[in-house]
Amino acid sequence: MISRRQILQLACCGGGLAFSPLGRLGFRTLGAMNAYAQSTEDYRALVCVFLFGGNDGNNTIVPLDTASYDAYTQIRGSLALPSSSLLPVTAKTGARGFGFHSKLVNLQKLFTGGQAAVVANVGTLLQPLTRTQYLAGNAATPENLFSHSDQQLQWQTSYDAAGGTGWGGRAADKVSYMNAPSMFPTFLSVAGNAAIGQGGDTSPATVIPGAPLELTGFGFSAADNARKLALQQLLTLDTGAALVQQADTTMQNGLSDSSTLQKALSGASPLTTAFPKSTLGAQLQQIAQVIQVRNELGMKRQIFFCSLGGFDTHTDQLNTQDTLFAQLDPALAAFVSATQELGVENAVTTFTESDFARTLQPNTNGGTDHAWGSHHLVVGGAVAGGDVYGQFPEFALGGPNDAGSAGRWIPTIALDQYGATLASWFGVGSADLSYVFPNLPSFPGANVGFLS
Amino acid sequence: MKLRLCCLSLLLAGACPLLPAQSPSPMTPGAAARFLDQSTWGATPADVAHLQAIGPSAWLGEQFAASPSPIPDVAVDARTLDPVREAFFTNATGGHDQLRQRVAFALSEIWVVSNVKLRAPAIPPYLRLLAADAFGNYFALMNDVTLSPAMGHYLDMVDNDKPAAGQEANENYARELNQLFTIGTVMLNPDGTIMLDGTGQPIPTYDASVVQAFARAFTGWTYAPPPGAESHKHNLKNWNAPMVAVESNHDEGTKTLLNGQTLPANQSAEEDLHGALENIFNHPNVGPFVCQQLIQHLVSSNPSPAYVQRVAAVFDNNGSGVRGDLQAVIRAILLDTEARAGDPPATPAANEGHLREPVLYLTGLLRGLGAAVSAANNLPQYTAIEGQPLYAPPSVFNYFSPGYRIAGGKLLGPEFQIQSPSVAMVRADLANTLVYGGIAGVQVDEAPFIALAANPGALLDHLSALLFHGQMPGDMNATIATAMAAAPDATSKAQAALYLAASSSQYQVER
Repeated sequence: MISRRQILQLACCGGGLAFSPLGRLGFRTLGAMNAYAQSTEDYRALVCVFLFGGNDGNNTIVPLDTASYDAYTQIRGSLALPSSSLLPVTAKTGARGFGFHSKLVNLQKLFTGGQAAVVANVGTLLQPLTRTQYLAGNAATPENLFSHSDQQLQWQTSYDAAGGTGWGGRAADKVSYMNAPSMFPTFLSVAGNAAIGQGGDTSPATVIPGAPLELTGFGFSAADNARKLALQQLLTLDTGAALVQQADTTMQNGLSDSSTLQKALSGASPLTTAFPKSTLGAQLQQIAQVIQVRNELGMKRQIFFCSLGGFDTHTDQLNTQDTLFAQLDPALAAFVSATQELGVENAVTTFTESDFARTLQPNTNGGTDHAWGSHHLVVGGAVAGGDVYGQFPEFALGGPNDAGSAGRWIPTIALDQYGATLASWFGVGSADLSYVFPNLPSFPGANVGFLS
Repeated sequence: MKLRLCCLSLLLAGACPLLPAQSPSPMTPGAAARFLDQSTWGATPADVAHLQAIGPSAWLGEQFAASPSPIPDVAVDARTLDPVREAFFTNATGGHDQLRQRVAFALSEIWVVSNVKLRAPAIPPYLRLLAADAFGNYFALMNDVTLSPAMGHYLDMVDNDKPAAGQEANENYARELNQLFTIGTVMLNPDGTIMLDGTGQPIPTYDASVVQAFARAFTGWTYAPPPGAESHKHNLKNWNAPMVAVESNHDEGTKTLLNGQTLPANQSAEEDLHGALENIFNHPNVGPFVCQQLIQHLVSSNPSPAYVQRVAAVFDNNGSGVRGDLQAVIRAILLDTEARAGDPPATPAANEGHLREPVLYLTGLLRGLGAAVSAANNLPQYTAIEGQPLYAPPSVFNYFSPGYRIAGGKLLGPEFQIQSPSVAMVRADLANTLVYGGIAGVQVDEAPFIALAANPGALLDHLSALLFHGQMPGDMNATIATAMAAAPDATSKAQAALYLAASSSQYQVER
């Protein structure tokens, strides 16, 4: 398979066909055809919302049956959320009662409306693992558990023998053919470089929400044209230096992707959906704007990455998580509304990732420390919603789900299974799943079932 | 010839007993400029001449003796750190303690605190601590940061209480002190490569129980009381004095630390803290772990294991039996044969160098182009939009990770973590603003460049000396000359050359 860089070089050296008037005309016609055929449009997008710092899943959703809730309050102490504050929902499976955190007002509605689900106790694993195995140290476990940087990377890359690629990028490698002849990257991050987006054959695009998409300082004079040409030529000089080459490639990708996006966005009318004026709101708004021009970009499959940080709540957890969920919930709700406005609510699935969960047992500062398996949110019209997938851990320090004695849950669903469920729905064929998640065969069941 | 080469390397190692210091031929201007790009905020013609005159060993001695540039305080209720950020740029462009500033900044990206969580007045005393300790001993740095109220608040060691039943001690500082500031998560060989066990697996340096033991060792510290006032279990915030112990709030149990070493029961908070820091400081990982990162910040993202090992050996023993001597470490980093091998007229190896992070990119241009920077300036916003808001990284993991790999997964390129395709364009726009627009509080005198514009060869040679160690590649020179030829007048010719040189990848990657 040839790389995007090679394709760009071919396009440049092949008489510039891709940028000729004919090429652009063909492009536009294709877009119009897609718009015409919208009712049967073949489009799907995944949106990853990464909660940096390690979100406390234990206070994101709480089981309300008496035994579980009593155990929860006893261990959590001052960090236990009062049942009166929790937003009640009933999971379809077993009609079990749960309560969402009080700031997740819209998520409660989406869950009740069947457009959101919870996947319980997901985390990084190399094989199914019991407490006995973990304590005996005779089973394979992920490296550097409880470390932010390592667990963020593992959530984004999964098992990566070759090194340097993320699971979103590898998924992009396998579906990018569906976007041909568009050369716009399948993966786009609105939160800077993200390890999840780097593929073997593909590399991600980035957008800074609100930032200009063209270089400033260039007019239309002959001198400006010559200067721009020189800038582009400097990026192609062979310096023999690996890091200079990387800087060149980064800039070439920026110029190429931004130019494509600028053209696609230029004719778009503003979305009527209002987004909250928060960092995550701006990121999700930018994603919605790109989805809006999917046909102009020629995209059938897209993966997006955005993030919200600050979840490392070693102190003052109750207030901090309140503030963060008060950003997360309305931003997600606005994004769902925007997908409805664009008519793609069944074609876009949004999901959370995070470093790890936090100890069920509190520390001395009204906070919690680094843990392992956590509960995650999946949102969208294609989600088999209103349900909690997987098994909730038993709230017992040193109990069967605890990796130690502070309530660090050994995951019962591997990231690989969670991701493969998303990737399968997205369009990665079953034969390609082991490329995206090489360690998937180590687990029973490649599909958790939360997407229909 | 052989003798001279031998003695040159001895001189570079700071110990040439046979000849007076100036006998070998002095550094070329290009070699001096390259040395200064690794040890200052960017080479200037004056510094190049001075370094040529006295040689690198004497220059290092001068720099070790230079007193720290002033870092202003902000008011107790200040809502912004901007005056401190603006002062960073006046110090970086005009301060004489260039090496101290570079090393202190590198340390601030290892021992990270952030204005994202800390209020503004907490930051200046912490920056002064790093500047003061930059040329001291690593153990003193560990001790001073551990007791600093800024770090205490940032990673929750302040008011970390003795755990009651049903609680654990707060692990935040205990974990990151080990993982990020001293030893890392896995055992290292003396050359910084990962040590493997008999089955080919990395060996963890600690487990969850060790982290909790350190957390308990660090209980019982609070802010210093105001002068003359009584101390309480939890004192009010005080950013200007080290934290103080509250023995009644210290966990007195036995703690089992790294390598199975224990702190006995019933020690005081001070005794436990000192013992815990000694336990870490003497771990064999500290030298390779810290030295590799310092090399990455100053010289190259991908030092050879042998280079790391040579510097780490100096960390372990400065030659006089002292462990952790940072002056000896910095000397070893900058004078190492691998650091100097690429000095002109030689060319750097293919994988040599590192991407200039936004701060270094901006200061390098300002100094190279001879910009005058006022006390009040708008410079801080230009690193922020490139993903490096000064003193406000997103987390304790800094703006970028020392382990970040560029596409392909083979080579490290920490600074590339924040150099997204979009940020690369922002960088070119910054070059545009600097050359064509102007930044408030910054004066770039373009007259000398305009005066040379009629002779593109002369202008490009001048730029090559200022920004490229005299090694601007020939094809780059020709490409810029073509753009200059299309520009209508001397000003636009000079500006085209400045813009293209400043925005080029060849400049952005310091080799």
